[in-house]
Amino acid sequence: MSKIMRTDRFPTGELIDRLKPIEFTFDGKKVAAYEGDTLGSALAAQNIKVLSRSFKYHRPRGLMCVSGKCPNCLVEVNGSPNIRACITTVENKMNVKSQNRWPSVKYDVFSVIDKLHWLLPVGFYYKSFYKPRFIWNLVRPIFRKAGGLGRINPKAKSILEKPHKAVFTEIAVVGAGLSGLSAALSAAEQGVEVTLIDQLEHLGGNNKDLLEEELVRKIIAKKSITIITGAPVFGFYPPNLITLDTAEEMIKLHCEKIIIATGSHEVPIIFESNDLPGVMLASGAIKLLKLYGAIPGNDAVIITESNEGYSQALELKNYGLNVVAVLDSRTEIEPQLSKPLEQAEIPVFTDVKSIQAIGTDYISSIKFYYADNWRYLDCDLACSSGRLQPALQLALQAGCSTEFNSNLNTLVPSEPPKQIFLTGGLIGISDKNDSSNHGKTVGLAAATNKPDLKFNIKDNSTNNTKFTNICSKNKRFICFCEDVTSKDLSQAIKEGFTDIQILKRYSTITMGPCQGKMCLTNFIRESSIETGSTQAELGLTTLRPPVEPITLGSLAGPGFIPIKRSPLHSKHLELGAKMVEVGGWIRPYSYIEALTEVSIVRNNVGIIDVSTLGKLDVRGSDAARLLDFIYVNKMSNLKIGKVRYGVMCLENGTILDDGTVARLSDDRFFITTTTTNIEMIESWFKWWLASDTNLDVALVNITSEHAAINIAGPNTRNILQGLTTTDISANKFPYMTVKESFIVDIPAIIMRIGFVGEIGWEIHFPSIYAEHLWDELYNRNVQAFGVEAQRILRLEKGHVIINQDTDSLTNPLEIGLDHIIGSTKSDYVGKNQIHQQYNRGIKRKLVSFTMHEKSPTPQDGSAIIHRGDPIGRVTSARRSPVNQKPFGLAILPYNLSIKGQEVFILINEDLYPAKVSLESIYDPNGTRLRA
Amino acid sequence: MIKQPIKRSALNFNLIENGASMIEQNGWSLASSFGDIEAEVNSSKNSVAITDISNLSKFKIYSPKIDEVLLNTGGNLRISEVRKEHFMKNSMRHSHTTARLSINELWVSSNTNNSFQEIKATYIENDKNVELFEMTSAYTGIRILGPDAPLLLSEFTDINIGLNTFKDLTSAQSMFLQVYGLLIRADLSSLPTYDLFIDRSYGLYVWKAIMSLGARYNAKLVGMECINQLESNP
Repeated sequence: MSKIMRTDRFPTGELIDRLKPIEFTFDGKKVAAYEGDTLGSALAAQNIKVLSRSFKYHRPRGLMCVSGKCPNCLVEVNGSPNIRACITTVENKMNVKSQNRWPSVKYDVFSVIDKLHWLLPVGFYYKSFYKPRFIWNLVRPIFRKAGGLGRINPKAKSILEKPHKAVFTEIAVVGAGLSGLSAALSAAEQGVEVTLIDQLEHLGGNNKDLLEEELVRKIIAKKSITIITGAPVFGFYPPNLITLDTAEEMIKLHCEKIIIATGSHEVPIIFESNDLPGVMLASGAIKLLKLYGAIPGNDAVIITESNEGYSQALELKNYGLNVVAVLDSRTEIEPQLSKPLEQAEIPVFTDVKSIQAIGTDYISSIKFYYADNWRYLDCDLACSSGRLQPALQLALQAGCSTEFNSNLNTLVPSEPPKQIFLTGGLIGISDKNDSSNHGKTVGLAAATNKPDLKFNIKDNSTNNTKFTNICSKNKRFICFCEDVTSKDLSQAIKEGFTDIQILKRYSTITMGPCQGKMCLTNFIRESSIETGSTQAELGLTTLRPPVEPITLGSLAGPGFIPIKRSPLHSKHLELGAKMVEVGGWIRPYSYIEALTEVSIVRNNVGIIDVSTLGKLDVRGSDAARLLDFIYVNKMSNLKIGKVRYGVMCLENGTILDDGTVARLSDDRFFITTTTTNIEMIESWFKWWLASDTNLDVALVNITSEHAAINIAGPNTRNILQGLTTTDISANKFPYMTVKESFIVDIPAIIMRIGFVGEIGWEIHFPSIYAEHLWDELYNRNVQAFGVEAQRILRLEKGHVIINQDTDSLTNPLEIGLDHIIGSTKSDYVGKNQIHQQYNRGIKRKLVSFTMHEKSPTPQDGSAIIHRGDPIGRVTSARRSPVNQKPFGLAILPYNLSIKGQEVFILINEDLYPAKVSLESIYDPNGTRLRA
Repeated sequence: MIKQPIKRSALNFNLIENGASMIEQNGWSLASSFGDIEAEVNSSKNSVAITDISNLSKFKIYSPKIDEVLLNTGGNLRISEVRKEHFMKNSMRHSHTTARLSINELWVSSNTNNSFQEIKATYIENDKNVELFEMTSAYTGIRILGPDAPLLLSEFTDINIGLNTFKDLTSAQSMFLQVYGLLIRADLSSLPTYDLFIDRSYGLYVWKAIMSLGARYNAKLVGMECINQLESNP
């Protein structure tokens, strides 16, 4: 154990265990703590006041809110940046570092920027450092280095993604302060199931008293109330979903009704140098003393504008602090407020005009203007008290409006949508009895579906005065996160940015880590004073999730990414295939080597898993009629046992998809589509089917029902005949026909078709037999080939792949499919546009090309240049194993789609000649294919 | 000599990797157990168990007059309602589970091998306006059962899985782990039992994800023997 001297702690400290000392390091130095301490309380106990440097000016910053809202105590913990020290529990041997400083938080070189503030006014990056132009490139890296908060350490251990859980409840109560507790109990007493949520680990809010403790006991005893603590609610999503981030999981809480009782919290009062370490919120100082026994200072000045400051002054005095004085901006206060302070010998100064905190690295005194004189008070702690801001983010996300509330002197949520209820400090209720009673009323209203229950709220409005400037040189911070002062705000408004949304974006107020929790109220108030508009007229900026910071790991969840596998997946792995992701599927790229596989298919026989093909089973007496409408080519005249290549278009005549249509009987068709489009095509079919409910058609997506194997090569017939009793000779089973038969006793739909330019069959059969049939074929010395070999083979044959060789503008005429357009059909999808295109003539065409064997192989998508202009692109290209030359398909202007036309392909910034060819380089007459 | 075709689910390889003892039954390669049947039964009764039920025969039935079809074959069902029928045939216990998916669509799953003929006889012989699609291969079936089954399910679906909300003999079509699926609750031996059917191509992905999530609840893989024991002791 370290021999560090521990500073004295106050005898309070509800959360710490003095029998369990622990330690951590802060910037390399050991810091003593107790179990239960936060990093902030332990540092305060050791009198370490400067914890960080501000974002822009690198001013020293220390604890302020002690509730996880402000940016002043952001530190790096065990490699993770931007952790709030004031709410992070100490663990033994934690490695904590300050951020945004160099070389140390005590002596930061970049603090010189504070002296150069005149160079960096609000919106400076729009106004300066851009002329001459090279200056911005010089200064930008300096600003990037100097600014920012924290650094991501790529070597730091990542936090595991959290599980997500869907939970359902009748009434959710967000906020377990007095009004929230009252609402929860009141609703539960009506027999309703309630979920009570609070971001703190305990119930009762920040200022527990006897009333709240009694309520807490009743709530714990109530079985119909589920309690979730330590769970910040970070978002509201329609219709009534709220999301909670707990230590173990992220909960999606689906609610029938939501009672929002998120209360209000203290925010800083604006005065000069109000960001000095030692200037805190009074509630923060009290929390340090009460919960951790940490002493944030010895001599405290209370700066207030409400009655709250007086009770807080007494509370600090009772803890043993020397309360030097209370400075109140109001002119008059009630005698019963000041009397106890008189008795406690705490001087009270009212009608204080201006205040300045004085000190270099931390506060040493307060200067203030009172009774026409400047006065000074020595202190090491200044507590800003009584300015409240409602925690209204969730309420506004839920769709509430806002209205001005004189109690809080700011906008509060109002007019909640149906099923949403508001109560407590959130809507400006400060009186404890009112909080309790209003909470009860709201709970009852929510439970009994009576939202119109009326309640009168006591008016506790306070004066809204403002401490005026002593000296324009001193900074009065509104936004601590972004270092924005009241002078900056005033300047922005003078420049014409008077709309609150634009003003926010220009000044960046509320855009930092606190996201307005410390500055929204002050922003609206100050803007109201500067512009002359009321707060209600100005309105609020848009508040979006997350309300509380949430890690990407929490949002991402377990990170499962859907991926499809073919029924033959394990076989591919067994054979050592190199697998790739193609169109959402994992498919075999190759087994041995693509060119070798190509050679085997061309000279012997190969098999490929084509189970990924989309497949539809379409049945009914109107099935043919539907197909005629959806396909460009005619399908109703397809004979039973025949297969036809088909193309589908959109209404604008562009190609949607292609595939085969096989007629199995009068009223049954077996359809294949491209791999990636099947869900879309299924929807497409159902869409058109829904347009005529009298059609007798049933269709089902059987993509996964059937596995599919394509067997191809000159020796295919020999192999296949040995596995089936069906006669597969050329006469009995010609090209483009289909049979339902058995292969090794497995029922199958066998189609005599080919994609790779060799004699072949496509076998479709129940997936449950996939491995069995594959084994039977493979064991006959048949080589498996992968998608790369298939691409080479089909390209040699000039077969088109939709969405590879076509784009969203391609019509069937451009890819040479004029012949399949069923001109005798009365109507089909895209007919008008296709016929118009036919009459007008096409402007571009898909053609094949070849290159010199010494040319490099172009990438898919390479530009084609003609006379210096880009005029087309390569859609697919490979090097041919047949003649060793690069070849492929390309889209060219129609006038250049002439056999022998020379064009140039841009490859690696050089141009290489290519010649247009209008036929495939392999088996152009289809002799082998149709054998 | 050509071997008799053996049927395998999309999870077959993974079951073997996880230590399943495989047997052949009714032409299927099935996981009999994972080493300790008693422990499997125990998990099913006290926490949560996961098993592969892809071997169930599955069908989709379409008809513009589904109400009539249902009335003629045992009684009407509202959308998302489920009925379960058991009967003995050739000393074997058969069960059919029927769920209504939409106004014109039914789902039927069955534990018998020749159920196509049975289902056809039941539904089509009486009515020619009915289309029957065999979907046995198309879907992977995953059964999750046990008192903690709803907790596990809540981690990968946004359906309200509460025992009183998603009651026994109820079905739902929704997204599970970002994939479309059909969930049927049909309790076994008074234990909450959920059968999830998803497209076979996503079967292994969903199975692995459920196993990963199930670790939090000490979920155990169980085999056919465990299910048989639970079925025979209602």
